[in-house]
Parts: sequence; C-alpha cells; structure tokens
Amino acid sequence: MRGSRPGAAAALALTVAFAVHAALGASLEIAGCRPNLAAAALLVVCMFSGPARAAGFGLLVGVLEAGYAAGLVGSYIVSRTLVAYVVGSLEARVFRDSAAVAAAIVLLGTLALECVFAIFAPPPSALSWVLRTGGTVLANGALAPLLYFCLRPVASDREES
Amino acid sequence: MLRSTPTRPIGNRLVLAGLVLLGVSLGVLHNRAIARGDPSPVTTVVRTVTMPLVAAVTGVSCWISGRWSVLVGAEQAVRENRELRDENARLRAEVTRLHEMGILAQRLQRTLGFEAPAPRGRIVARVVALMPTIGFHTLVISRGSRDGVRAKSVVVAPGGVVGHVFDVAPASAVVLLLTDSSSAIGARVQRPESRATGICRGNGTDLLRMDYVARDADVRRGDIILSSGLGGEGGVFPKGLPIGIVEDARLDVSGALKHVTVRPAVRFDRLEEVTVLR
Repeated sequence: MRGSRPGAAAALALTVAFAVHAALGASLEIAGCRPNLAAAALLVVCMFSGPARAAGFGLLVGVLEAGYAAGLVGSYIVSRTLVAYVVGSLEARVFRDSAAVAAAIVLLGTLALECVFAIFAPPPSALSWVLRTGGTVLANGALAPLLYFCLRPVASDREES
Repeated sequence: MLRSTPTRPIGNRLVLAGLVLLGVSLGVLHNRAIARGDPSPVTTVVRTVTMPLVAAVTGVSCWISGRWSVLVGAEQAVRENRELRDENARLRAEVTRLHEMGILAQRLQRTLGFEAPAPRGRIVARVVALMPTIGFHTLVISRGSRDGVRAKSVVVAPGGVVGHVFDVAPASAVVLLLTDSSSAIGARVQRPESRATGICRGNGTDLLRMDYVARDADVRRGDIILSSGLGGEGGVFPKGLPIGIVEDARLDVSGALKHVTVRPAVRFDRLEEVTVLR
C-alpha cells in the first residue's frame, strides 16, 4: 500500500509548479511555444501514482488552474482528472521509470489534456487552438526530462537500490 | 516492459466517478455564483490559499530580473534616461497646453449646459500573475472586493485600457485583457476628420480586431483608437481611454465593411501595476 507522505509531497510539488507557472506566465514563452508547467508536472507525477491517486492530483491541478482562469471551472477540473486517471492507470501496466518515457507521456498527455478540454469548452478559433496547443505540447515535452528528475524523488515511493 | 495488471479496477473507477462528480459540482457552483453576480466560492478559496505563494514567486522573479537588468543594461539605461528627460520636457509643455484647453472645455461645457462625467475612484493594484492560464488572456491583481474592486470595474495602465475585472475575491481579482477572445469594447478613431466608430474585440492574439467599421470610414494606419463609451462589454468602459493604434485597415472579403487591425496601446506582458477605476 502506498504511504501518504509521497502523496502529500507530490501535491505540494504540483502546487509549487502551478505557482511558478502562474507567476511567470507569458514570460515562459519561447519562440511562440508556452509550456503548461502545472500540466507537465501533473503528468510526470501521475507516472508514479496509481489511478485513484493520479485522479486526485488531476483534480488538484484542475482546481488550481480554474481558480486563476476566466471561468470554465468544471472543464478544467474534469479534463485534468480524466487524463490524470488514464496516465495513472498505465502505472500498473507499463514500466515507465525513464526520462525518455516521461517525455513521451508528457507529449501525449498534454495533447490529450488539451483535446479533452477543447471538447468541454470548444475554442473560438480552430487554427489558433492548433498552433497554441502544438506549441504547448512541444514545450511540455522539452521540459519533461527535467521535471522527471526533479519530481521523481518526491513522487515515487519505490525504494532506491 | 509489462508489469502486473491492476488489482482494484472497480474501486478506482468509483473514485474517478466521485472526483468527476465533484468537479462538475464545483463548476455548477461557480457558474451559479457568477450568474448571480456574487464572488465564486471556488476561485475565491483557491486564490486566497495560493496567492501568497504565487506572489512570492512573482516577487523573486521581479527581483532577479531587476538585478539582471541593472547588471547588463547600465549603458542602455543611461541612454534611455537621456531620451526620457527630453521626452519629459516635451510632455510637460504638452500638459500645460492641454491643461489650458481643459479649462476652456470646462468653461464651454458649463456655458452649453453639458453634463461633465463624474470623477471615478482609483485603486492601484500590483499584477501578481500574468496570463496564468494558457488560452485565456487574463491577469490576477492584488486587490479585491475588500479594497472596493467590483466585477466589470475598468482596469487601465499609463498607456491605456488593460481590460475589465471578471472575477473578484476578497484580496484578488481576475482581469480579462482586451486581447482575450471574449473581450469587446466600443471604439472610436481619435482623428477629428474621421471619428469612425466600431467595436474592438480580442481574438486570442496580441492584436485586436475592430469590427462594424463602415466601408467608407476614414481609417488609416497609425490612427489612434480611443474607447467610445458606447456598447462593448456591457458598456462599462468610459469614453476617451486609449485602446491602441491602427496597424492595418482594408475592406473585408464581402466588401461591405472595413477590416481594421489594432495594436493595443498597452504592452500586457510588461505590466507590473495597474489602476482599477471604480
């Protein structure tokens, strides 16, 4: 059974990641690609969590993002919760303790997050959504290895050999 | 590499269903509060709890960028200082001239029986988070309902209009920027020969689109666009605030209206303080 300490530490790490994302905001953008630090951190943490705990982390990040957004509270929370649950479900099936796999999961997970969110809250312009989402997916994928090494010690409850 | 299959799929699905239900309930709670014109309990709690952390990160970031700019930009700062002194001298002369014109305008208003707009209270607020959510052009400020900020209060910076308050908590507020795709403001060309009107809308980019401009309207690149005090997002914006400068004006595809692109007067990504008009 998983202990509560890694869960609490991971929740705190996600809150800090969101705070950095909210505070630095637009200045994180490089060449038109802006990462969603909170979402990327969520996906990395979910790699080391079971489905139920991952869904809880998804809810946390959804609530945090919704608190600073202009509405769409339910869409944020539900989209983050669903995708986090799916990533958490893979934890029991696929060995993923690797930076390369983390990059792949963050790339695909970010794309899934944006797609699920767009289903709940369709964007006004499809072209600008595609461009923005593409930039966020690439930026998150680039950040994933760094986040993997930073978050692995707090999110994983596996014993180091 | 494959690992063992999950052991408690039904329990996990129940947890997921519960969390999704909780998420939907929070969304409904938020929407109902906004529809009633009340502060949203969800966003209020989230921002009240996380604001100190976000504000601390913003403070550290500003401190570091300030020190960095001192280190690398001293020569540039000297040059800019000289240019700003010259500009300041020019602007002082302009202020004196405009002050005289203001006195004349007041006298004429009184003579003609025009109703002067009531002066508005101002609240200066620090920008705590700039565009914190991807896809929305918003910022979060350090003042809220306990400071007198209300939903739909107009927010300005020295350069011009920033946007309007969308959601208020006791110690913070979310401001919807002009560039957000759900923003709209009644606009007018400042040039006396034109005075063409339209609605400036955000489209999720750094530029604004001015709609409903008549095809024969005299709008040119470089024209200054001011708020008209008409229409827009509930007609909340007072008249005469700078919105931006025309980048491009051409007939739209149908040929019935003019397609005008406006660059906002305010650089939103450099905002550190804003003023809320009550």
